[in-house]
Parts: sequence; structure tokens; C-alpha cells
Amino acid sequence: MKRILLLSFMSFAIAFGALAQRTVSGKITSPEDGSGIPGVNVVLKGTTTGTTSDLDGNYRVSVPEEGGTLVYSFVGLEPQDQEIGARSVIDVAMTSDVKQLTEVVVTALGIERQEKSLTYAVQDVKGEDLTQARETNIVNSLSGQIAGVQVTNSNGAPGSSSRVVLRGASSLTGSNDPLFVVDGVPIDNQNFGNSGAYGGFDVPNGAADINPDDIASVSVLKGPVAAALYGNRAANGVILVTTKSGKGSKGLGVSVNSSTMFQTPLRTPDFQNSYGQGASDTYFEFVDGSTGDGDGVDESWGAPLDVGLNFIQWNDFDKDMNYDGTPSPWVSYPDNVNDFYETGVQLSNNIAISGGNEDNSFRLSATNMQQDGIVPNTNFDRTNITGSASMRLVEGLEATMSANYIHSESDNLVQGGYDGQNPVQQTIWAGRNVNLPALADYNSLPLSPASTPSGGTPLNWNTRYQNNPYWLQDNNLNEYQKDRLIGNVKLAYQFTDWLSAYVRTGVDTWSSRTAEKTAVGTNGLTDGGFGLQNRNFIEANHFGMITANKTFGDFSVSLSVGGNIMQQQYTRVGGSIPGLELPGVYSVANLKSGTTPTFTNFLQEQQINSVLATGQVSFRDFVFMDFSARQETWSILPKANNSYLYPSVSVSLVLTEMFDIYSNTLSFLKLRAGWSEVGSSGQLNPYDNQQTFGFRATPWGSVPLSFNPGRLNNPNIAPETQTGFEIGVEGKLFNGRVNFDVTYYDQTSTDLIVSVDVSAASGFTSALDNVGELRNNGIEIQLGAKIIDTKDFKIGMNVNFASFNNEVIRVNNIPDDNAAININGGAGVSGQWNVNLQAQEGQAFGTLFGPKYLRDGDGNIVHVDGVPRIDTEFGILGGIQPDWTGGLGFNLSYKTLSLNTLIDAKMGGDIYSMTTTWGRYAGVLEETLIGREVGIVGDGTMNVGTSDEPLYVPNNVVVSAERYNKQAYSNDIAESSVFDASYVKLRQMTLNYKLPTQWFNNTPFKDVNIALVGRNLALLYSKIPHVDPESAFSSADGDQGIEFGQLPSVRSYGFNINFKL
Amino acid sequence: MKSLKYFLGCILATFIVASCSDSDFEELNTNPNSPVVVPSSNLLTDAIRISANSLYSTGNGGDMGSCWSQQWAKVQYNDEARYSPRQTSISGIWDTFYEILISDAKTAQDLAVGEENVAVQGAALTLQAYGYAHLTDLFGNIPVTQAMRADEGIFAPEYDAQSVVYDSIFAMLDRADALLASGSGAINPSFDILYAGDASKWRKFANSLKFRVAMRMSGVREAEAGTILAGLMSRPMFTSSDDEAKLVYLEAQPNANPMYESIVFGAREEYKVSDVLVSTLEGLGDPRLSVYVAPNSEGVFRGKPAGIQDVPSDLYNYENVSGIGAFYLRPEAPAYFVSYGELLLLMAEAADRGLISASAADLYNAGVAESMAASGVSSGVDAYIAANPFSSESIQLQKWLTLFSQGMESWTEWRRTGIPNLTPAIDANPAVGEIPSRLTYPATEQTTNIANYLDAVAAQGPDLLTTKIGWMQ
Repeated sequence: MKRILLLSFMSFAIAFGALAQRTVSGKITSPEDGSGIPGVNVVLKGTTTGTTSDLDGNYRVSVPEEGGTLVYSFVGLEPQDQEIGARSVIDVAMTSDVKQLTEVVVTALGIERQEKSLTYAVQDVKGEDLTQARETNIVNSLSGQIAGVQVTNSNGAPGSSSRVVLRGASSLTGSNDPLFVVDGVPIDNQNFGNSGAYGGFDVPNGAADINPDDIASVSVLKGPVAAALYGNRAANGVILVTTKSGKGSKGLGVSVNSSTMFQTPLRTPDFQNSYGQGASDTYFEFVDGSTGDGDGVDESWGAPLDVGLNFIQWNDFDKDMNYDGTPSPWVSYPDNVNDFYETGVQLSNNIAISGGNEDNSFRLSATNMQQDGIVPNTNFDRTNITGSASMRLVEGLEATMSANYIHSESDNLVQGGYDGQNPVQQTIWAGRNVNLPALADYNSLPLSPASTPSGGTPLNWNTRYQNNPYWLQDNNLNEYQKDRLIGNVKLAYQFTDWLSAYVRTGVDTWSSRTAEKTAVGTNGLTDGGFGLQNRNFIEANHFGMITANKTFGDFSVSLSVGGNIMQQQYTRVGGSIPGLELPGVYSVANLKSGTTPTFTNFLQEQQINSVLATGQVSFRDFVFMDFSARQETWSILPKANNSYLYPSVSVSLVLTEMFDIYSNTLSFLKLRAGWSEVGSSGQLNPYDNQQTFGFRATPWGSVPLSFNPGRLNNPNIAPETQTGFEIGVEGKLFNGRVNFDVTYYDQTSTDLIVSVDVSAASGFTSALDNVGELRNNGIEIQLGAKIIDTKDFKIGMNVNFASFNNEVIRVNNIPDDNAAININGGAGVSGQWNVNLQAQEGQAFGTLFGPKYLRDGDGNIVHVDGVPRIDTEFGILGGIQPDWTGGLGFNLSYKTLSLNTLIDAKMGGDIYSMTTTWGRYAGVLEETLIGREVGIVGDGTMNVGTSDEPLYVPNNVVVSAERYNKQAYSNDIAESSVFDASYVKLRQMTLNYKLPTQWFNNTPFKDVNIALVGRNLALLYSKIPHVDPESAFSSADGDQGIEFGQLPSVRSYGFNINFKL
Repeated sequence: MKSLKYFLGCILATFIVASCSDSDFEELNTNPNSPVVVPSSNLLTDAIRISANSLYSTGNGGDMGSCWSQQWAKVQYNDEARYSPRQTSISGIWDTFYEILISDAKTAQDLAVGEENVAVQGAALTLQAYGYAHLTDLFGNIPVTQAMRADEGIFAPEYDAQSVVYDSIFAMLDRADALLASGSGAINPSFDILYAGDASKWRKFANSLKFRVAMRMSGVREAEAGTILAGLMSRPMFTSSDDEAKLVYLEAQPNANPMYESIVFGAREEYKVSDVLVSTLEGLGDPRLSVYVAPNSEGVFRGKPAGIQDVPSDLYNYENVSGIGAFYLRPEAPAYFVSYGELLLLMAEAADRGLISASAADLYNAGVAESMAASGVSSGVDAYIAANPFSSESIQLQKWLTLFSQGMESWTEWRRTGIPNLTPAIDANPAVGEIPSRLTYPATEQTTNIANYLDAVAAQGPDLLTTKIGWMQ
């Protein structure tokens, strides 16, 4: 760990050329293990002459003939002075400086700072902490590691996206994603999948393209104070990724990592196994899966299973659909759903070569990751080829460049949402008498009769609503391909020992192709179809900055001035056809005659010009003050008012030094406070300040269909503003054995851009305006302890905790009207769905709003004719905002064997699980067994008075279980399917063994590690039945908090081996 | 070395200056994808298409309209037929008619004023009037005088009493009649998917619609209705099925008839016919029986009673209940805004009640013959009329039959006439218990327009399906 810190710090080290009369050399070592320390500054006192130690800790420096004093310094180590005298070899043992913090932290614009001098909350995760459990999406690997970071992985599909929010939502309708910055260059983290409540498929969020094996460290700038220097894009915080480089390597090094992971569903619903498919409780007869006696009903309110009954079922037919003459036993298949899932496999192999000398370095890395999902015929592959190099051209002038090429593709990503093509949906509706795996060999099955909606496709247990799920997985494909290049070139020059400058151009560009193939015969889409979308994105950032550092007596001053030009272009071209003329030919030219194709295309461009200044003043190394200012001019804002200034100021006091109260018990104590104002474009896209006419995707024959959009745009729109402060205290106790960091923050977002819902009778359904306001505050606590810290045996613990208070203050122009807006798209959901995700005034961001039970004055559910009544008014059923999140990490090590465990928790927050809704409606869930034979008396009251003078008495009307479940759990009453989404998960566990060095003495192998690793291993606590409470349709804000037929999250386990050559 | 310093310094200086500039931003932020102006008549195309799709969607006209008038019946998923409509369908209708039909027609009217195109203004006004008429028939009191005024900052318009809505509709249609009569301006024939640019037919639509609207309020404002109806007799109205306001769909999705797209193409075969329809047609010896109704799997016509919870069952299932006749599930089956047959039967009623002077029996006979013709029935019509001659009641029964598959219109006319006598759904939502009299206001109005919503509820009565709207009182 320390070595990596030292290596990265070397990039700061500046070599000075000087005239010299003689040479002094030596080795700088650590007294603890005698190993060399690289990167230590060695400077001749009073001059600018000096050098840094190499990888092995050796240094060589020219000194005047008469000698002098050499100063050895390195952050985190106690500085030393050595009189040269007549010596030509000076070996130095440097001890750690317990008064100093030992870590360097990457802050905004990649400025590396001593942790001690930070004036705001920044938290680091090292590369190996991200990769140890072989998580492939960098966002997921942050889960539980850092206080205040909320991560939601949408589902267990290969290539699924993950959402990360720092400190809660800061925008009502814009993205709440933090900005991802890789080696100083902002990268795109958008999710362009079409997954949602009604199907579609999820694709990786942009940042998931980054290969965790290439990451040296991740710094999380949680709040706007830390991130203010990024101006308009800082509102949601910033995640800074520093990739590995060859700096500090000497000679050639090769490292290899290989992992194999297996994946199984973490949780599948608890099904009943006592009643089969159909509507009759005594009889069932399969004719064609659609028109027989109960076979057209997919629900499981039919005859009892495993009681010796025999009925004609789907598997009693020969290839020509002739009944084989023997009815099959009517029995349950308790594992029919679990057996539908396969064991997923994820293989990841990485090889990296790095090398360099004092002036030059490089690193090349290649990684291939291949994943097969738990649903048949789903996969995801990603290849990353990364190179970085730096070169000292002349003294003081350094050129660096890096390039990261990413190719990802999938032959088939799984369909989600309420959609007949979502395989999980079929498992929820499938009769409990259906042996799903028996459908796998569909080529030997007869074809569904032409008269059925699945006609012509291999037979299924039900042909009215579903296709054979295995046939569907093999024929209806969601293809995905993305090629991306992220790179930058940088030229830096050290003018003098106090003045330096650099210019850098960074580019993030990608193109993607998604194709949806729907085969002829697909239920509900009998003509098949094809859709294709090509997207191109490019963002270039041209950045330059000049920095001065000076010390005046007790004061040190650092000042940087710079500018950035950001240019972004996004284009999309797509076409789709609603039917295929020739089956199996997937081209938009293969248009079914008489149908109309749909084409989409657009171009969006924007530019932001910024000038910025940032500086720090420190006094005697215990008072630090930071300030920053960024003036931004945006193309997407109205021309008359398109320039905004975003400032920040923050200060920290190291009390232990200030008052000289340092002791072994209280090794370090710091107070900090900061304030900032930053901006955000929210949901504003290019051209959104003008009203234009739209065209429907599909023409009427050959007539284009223009329309006046439902949203009224605003020519006076302004950016969103986030103003906030944070205060913190951090300290180290018992010689650094225990450390803590507590932060309180309070941020208010104003002028939030909202498509304010307006009465459609106005002519528009929404109007764009700066009306929203929301506030976030909370406490973040990070605690670390080395409980046992001996040479061979160590136990360490890390705890983090964050509480969240979030309040939507305003969503429209009308004060105190408790208004709400839909976050899940303008009009929200409809059809099968009855619950909208909203931002409601007075509530935390993300309320679930939908139909609820009618209740009497005492809160009892009112029954009419034995079934619950629906309240005529919709109400708040819950909210997605957690009360707190936390992580608990344990690290045990004995010699070279180490065990790391991470448990994380999210407490509070709700989810609407339509799996329960339709699973109860369909009679497949375990709880639908209640009252099957004797009926159900609903818990609640009934009115025996009049509607004007109600008299409520306990409900005593018996109704059938079917009627009760269908009424009380239909989507008419969503309240019954809203659950607390709290969870505690065993997020990861790794057992790592570094094989003894002597085993490899005569081989090229070094540093051989083998590890058993597991992720998402267990749901230790949850209150929701049947599904993983961590669930979403995608990483988009609007896709949170509702769930149906979600592909189960996966438990991953496997092994990893890495070694160096 | 020195030159390098200057070089770097120059780059930085140029760069920082460039970072402050915004000289080309206006051009950069000009939308290259969408126009700021379109031809006025092109806006009508989408307005017509979208509103027809709403009327004929199985979720609206089917699940509610046709099931509530008991022409259709479903053998599964029949919550709506048991008077638990989907909120989202209701808000969909409200939004479609206000934000798309009326708003786009209003925008077309404004653009046409700029184009000095009088004919388009008339057509656009007719469509707006149609939209308001449909909405007030479904909901009762609705915004009209303050509607469509977002440009004045009115985002939460007040509701008007139904009588005010009707008066506004009459004023719009009178103005439309005058504009369309002027002979000035032209409607682009390829954009006009109702009348291919024929302004005289638009004029007939405006007046025929006015006739329907006046008839609808004739129960509560009979004298005024009489004046309006009598006045209309001197204006051009439909004189043949060539004139009627209908959108003829194209042969394939997504521009095929929504009932075809859902029931046939989308395989939603739970949409069947009701026993009332089958028994009525059989009782009349009606040749439309085999057009309206498909034989069941045993080759007979068998309807299902309205609203049984536990279906499909042995008694009523996909097999043994008759589906909707193939003629009405064609992809090109038209969506009617106002049909000629309906107009004739409305005129027959007006004549029968003495509101206009004409022969009620002649109009009845013509109406029945037109209804038969619209269903492709040409033989045996005279004998049928002879067997089922004109009476005050037979007009309404024939109108109910004529409006087959015109879901919302058939339900609305049934609410006005009460003919035929219908029994509420067997397993009706107990909170409703009777055939709905209106739709509840969309939930969105409770969030976007709460004060006016509450005023409307106070004026009209509780926001329930059973509350009687203006012309029902």
C-alpha cells in the first residue's frame, strides 16, 4: 500500500539539474523491514539541487566539493538532515512521521495533496480494494466502502448498469450521477439503454467501461466544496479515477491476473407447490395452450398438485401435435424456476507490462472479461487495451499520454420490465405444474398451432401469452456493441522551482450499436420486428493551467489559474420496423409490406468555456485555507444570460500542531469547514430554450406527422444552483491505531429545472422552469482501527456510516401545495403499473405514489363484500430514500494469508414489488396458499352503517383466496406490494494467500497470490419477500424504486490468481 | 529553452482568452433537428390520428365504452367492465384530447391565421369543438374559457359548467361554418386525412357535429336546442356516407385500426361480444348479426353477460363466447368521429320530438339503411325495416346498434337514451354498482389544478363514476 503511495508521489518529484563537483550516493530504507523507499526527495539545503530515490531506494546526487547538508523528505516520513562532510556514501533510514498523515490524496483537477492539508471531505479507495472481489463494474465496487456513497446495482444480468449517488439527490429531474474523471479527463457515465417498466434491456453505465485492473486509486469528492473546481458538473460530486502508470518502475515488469467467477441467483421467489394452472379446481386439459380447459389461463388457481390427479398437459403431444393418449401426472416442480437459471461464468484475464527509467515510463495493459449470464443465452464481453507513457523531453519538460480502448459487446442482453419477452416474467406467471427445463429441447417439441398467438413457434406450456422461453432466448436477441476511446495528451513544464504550467487535451469518444431482433411468431408481435440504434458521442476537454508556489516566512501560498474548453457532440441514428417480410432477416430493409418503418436521428452539440483559479494559503503547516472560482459560459443557456461564477472557500486547522497538544493518545486532530456554490444543467439539453415542433417517429403512410410538443420550453431558463457547507473533524488516536473522520454537510439546491406538470387543459402537460428546491443534509462517519497490529498477525476494521436527510422543498411555482412531479418520465407509468416515482414537496426525493387501501377512522382497511376497498385518492406509499447506509469491513491477516470481509447495509427506503402483485394475482407465491380451501376473512373492517353515517365493525365476510388475492394485490391496490427495502448484505469476502517467495526462487514468477473471492454472497437481512431489495430497471433515477420480474441479483464466487514476472 | 517558455505562455494565454468567449454559441445552440414553423394543415394530421387512436383503443373505447354500453364483453381481464377503470386510461384520454387534439388544432388555427389560410382555421376550430364535446360528455364540467392559454401564463385553468362548455362549442362551430363557407384558403389534401382538403366536407362535419351536440343537451335545454337544430337544417350537413367524419386507417400497424392492432395483431382475444348484443340482433332478425359477431368455436353466436369476475370459466371462455366480427377488426376499419348513420337517427329523433320539421320515419328508414350499408349489408334491408318499423324507441335501439364498436359514443348515447335496457355488470365494483355516468377526473388534475378541481367537484358533485353530468340531470 505504502509503496503505491510512494510511487504515485514520485510524479511530483522534480529533478533539478546542477553543476557538481562530486557525487554522493546511498540508499534510503525503511527501518521496519529494511526495504528501499523510492521517491524520496534529496535536496542540497539552500539550493535547488537534488534528486529522488529510485525504485530500490538508491539515490545519487551531485554536491559541491565542500559538502553541505542534504535534506531527505517525503510526505508521511520524518524529514532528515544529513551533514555530508567528507562522506560519499550516505545511507539513511527514514521513519514514518506519526504527526503527519501518511497519505496523499488526489483532489480536484488531479492535484495531489497531503491528506493533512485537506479542507473538505475526500475519500480514497485503492485499486486493489476495488479489484479484490473481481467486480467488473467500478460503481459496484464502491458499494459499502465509503460513507455517503449509495450504490444500486440494477440486477444480476451481465452488463447491467449501476447507479451511484453521493450524499443524496441534488437535482429533481436532471441526472444525479457524479462526474467521473479519469486521469483528469471527464468521461461519460450515461446509460443509453432502453430498459424500464415496460421491457427493454439495460446496458452498462458509461463508467462501467473502465477496467478495474487498470485503476490505481479512486478519490471520491463527495460534496460541492471538494468538487467546486469542476463548476457546473460538480453538483453531484466527482469520482476521480487515477489509472496505473509505469512511473516509478525500473526496468521491465509484467503482472498477470486471472480470475474465474461463478454466478448463481442470490434470491428467487418463494413459490407455492400445491396448486396448478387453470381456473377450475378440479380439471385441466391442454389442447393447444390457448383454448383448452384452463390451458389458456396462465394463473395457478387450478387443481391441487401431487394428489394423484392426471391431466393432459403440454408434454403429452408428439411432434405433430397428436395427443399421446396418456395424461400426465399433475405434480409440482418446486425447483422449476431455479432450474431455469444456469450457473453464470465470468472469466477475466489481465496482463500488464510496465517499465521505465528516471526520465521515461510506460505501461501497457490488456484485459479480457467474458461473462455468461444466469439466463440461457445471455452474455457480455469486454476488452480493454490501455497504454500510458511519459517522457522527460528536456529538463523540466514532461510529455505524457494515455489511451484506453474499450470494446464491449453482447450477443444477447436479457429483457426486463413488464414484457412478454422478459423470461423472469414468464417464471412469475408460469403454472406451478410446469417443468420449465423440459421446454429447453424445443427443437423436438411440436409447433404451437397456428390458431394460437404463439402459432408456428415451438410449443410452450401456454401459447396464449407466452412463447417457449428457451426459444425466445435463442431467437429474440438484444445485441449490444460499444467501442470507446478515452485518452489524453499532456505537456507540463516546470519554469522555475516555484512556477509550472501544463496543457492537456482529453477526449472521450464512443460509438455504440444496439439491435433488437424479434422473431416472427413472437407472442403479441407475430410479424416479428427489428430495431437498430447507432449512437456516437464525443467530448473533448482542452485544459491549461499555470501554478505558482511560494513560501513567505510562515506562509505558503499556492495559486493556479487556468481555463477549459469543453465541446460535446452526441448523435443518434436509428430505425425500426414493426414486422419482417422474410422471417429471420434482420435489416430495416426487410420491412413487412404495408407497414411503416420508424426512423430517429438527431444531433446535439454543446460547449462550455471556463476560466478558473484556485489556491491555497497555509500558515505554519497547521492552518490551511483553500479557495476556488470558476467562471463558466454555456452554449445551452440563453445567450443573454449564459455566464455564471462558481466559488468555494474552505479552511482547516490542525489542532494538535496549532496548540502543540500532540500526544500518543491524540496523535492528530483537525477541524475543517467549507462553503461553496456550484451549478448544474439539470435536465437541460441543447436547444431546450426554444420551442420547436416535433415529428412523430412514424409517418402516416408517407405523410410526416408534426406536432406541438407537450412541454413548453423556456427562453429564460437558468442553470441549477447548489449551495452548501460542510464541517468536519478528523483525528488519529493511539499512535494512529484508530482514526476517525466525521463530516456534517448541508446543501441546498435551488432553481432546479423542472418540467412542471401543468393541467393538460392549458395546452401543455408541462412547462420548463427554474422552480425546484431541495435540501440534503447528513452526517458521514468513517472509523478505522488496527485492533491487533503485530508483525505476523493483524486485525483491522473499517466502519462507515452515513445518514441522509433529503427534503423536496418545491417542485412548482405554487407555495405549500404539496405538489409532486413524476421522476419516471413525464406522465409516469400506466397499464400494468399503477405506481409513480415522484418528487413530492415536504417528502424525501423519490416517493412512491399510487392507489392505497380505503381505511376507516382508526386506520383499519375497509372491506366491502369481503374484499378491501381502494381509496379513490392516490397516496404516498413509501419512498426510495434510505435513512442511512453503512459499511463494515474486517481485515484479518496472518503472515501472508489474509481474509477480508465487507458487509454493507442500507436501512430505510421502500420498493414497489410488482413481483408480489402479479405473483399473488397469479396464485404462484407461497402466501397464496393461505385460505385456498377455506377462504379468507380479510383483516379489517366493514361498514354496516350508511355511507353518510358509517358504522365500522370487524370484517367477517369469507371470500375465496383467489378473489381476495386478486382484489387485495392487483395493481389496483399497489399499497399491498410496497415493502421496506432495507438490507444488510455480505457484500464481499476474499481469502488471499501470498505464496512463499522461496517456492519460486528458480522460476520467473514473483509475488504469486491466490485468492478465493466472493461478492454479493448473502442477504443477511431484508424485509421484502421474494426479491433482492437492491433492484432497479437501470441506473437512471427514474428507474429506481419499482420492480417487476427483475432478473435476480447474482451471488458471485470464484478464485483469482495473480503474479509478476 | 526560452522559446519554449514563450510558446507555452502563448498557448496558455490564447487558451484562457478563448475560454471566456461565447461568440458562436447562438449558432451552436440552434436546433438542427426540429422546425420552428410547420404548415398549419400538417398539424391537423397528427391531431386527427391521435384522437382517433384514443377513441378506438381497446383500453378506452373497448374496455370502457363498448363494455359499458354492453356491446362488447370480455372473457378475461375485465376490471374495467366491472366499473374499475384504469386511472392511466382516464388521464390518457384527458391528455390526448387537451394537449394533442385541442392544443395542436389551436396551434394550427394560430399558424393558419399567420398564413391567412381561412379554410384551415375552420377545420382547426371544428376539431377543437369535437375535442371539447367529447371531453365534456365524458367528464362533465371541464375547462374551456381558460383552456389553451399557457401563453398568458394560465397553467391551471378554471372549469366551466357544462352549459358554458356547450355554448363555447356552438360558438366555435358557428365560426367554423362561416370560415369554411368563405371559400378562402386551402387545406393541403395530402395532410388532410379526413377529407383530402375538401373544405365543403369539413363544413358538413362542423354542422353535423353541432347537430349531435345540440341533441345531447336537448333533454335539459330543449328550447335552445330546438332553435339550434332548426337553424342547422338550412346549413349543409352530411348527405351521404362520403361526407361523414371518419378516419380510414391504413393496412398495417402502427397506422392500422387500434382495435385490429390490439385484438388481432396483439392477440388480445379476450375481447368478445355481449349477450345483450347477440339477443338484440337475434330478436330483430338483424342481418348485421353475422357482421358484428363472429361464431364461437361451435359455429354459433353466443354472447356473454357483462362483468363476471371469475372468467374464463366453463360457462364463458375464449372458446365458447363469440368474438367481434372480422369486419370490425379489419386493419382499415374506419374510426368514426361522426357517422352519417348516427346523424340520420339523431335527426329522426329530433323530428320525432318536433325539434325540427322533417319526416321522422323517413329519416329512421334512411338511418337504418345507412347503418346496414356501413356494415356491408345491402340485401333484405327493406324487409328488415318493414319488420322493425319506426318508433320513438326503435330509433334509439337502432342508434345503439349503429354505434357498434364506436365505444365511447355508444356509451354516451346510451347514457342519454337509456335504450336498450341494460343490467349492470354481474360482479360490479360494489363502490359503483351501476353503469358509470361519467369518468372520474384524471388524478393529474388533483396535483396540477387542485383548487379548480375542487371547485368543479363542488359544483358538479362528487368525483365519482356515478355522478350525473349536466345533460343527464
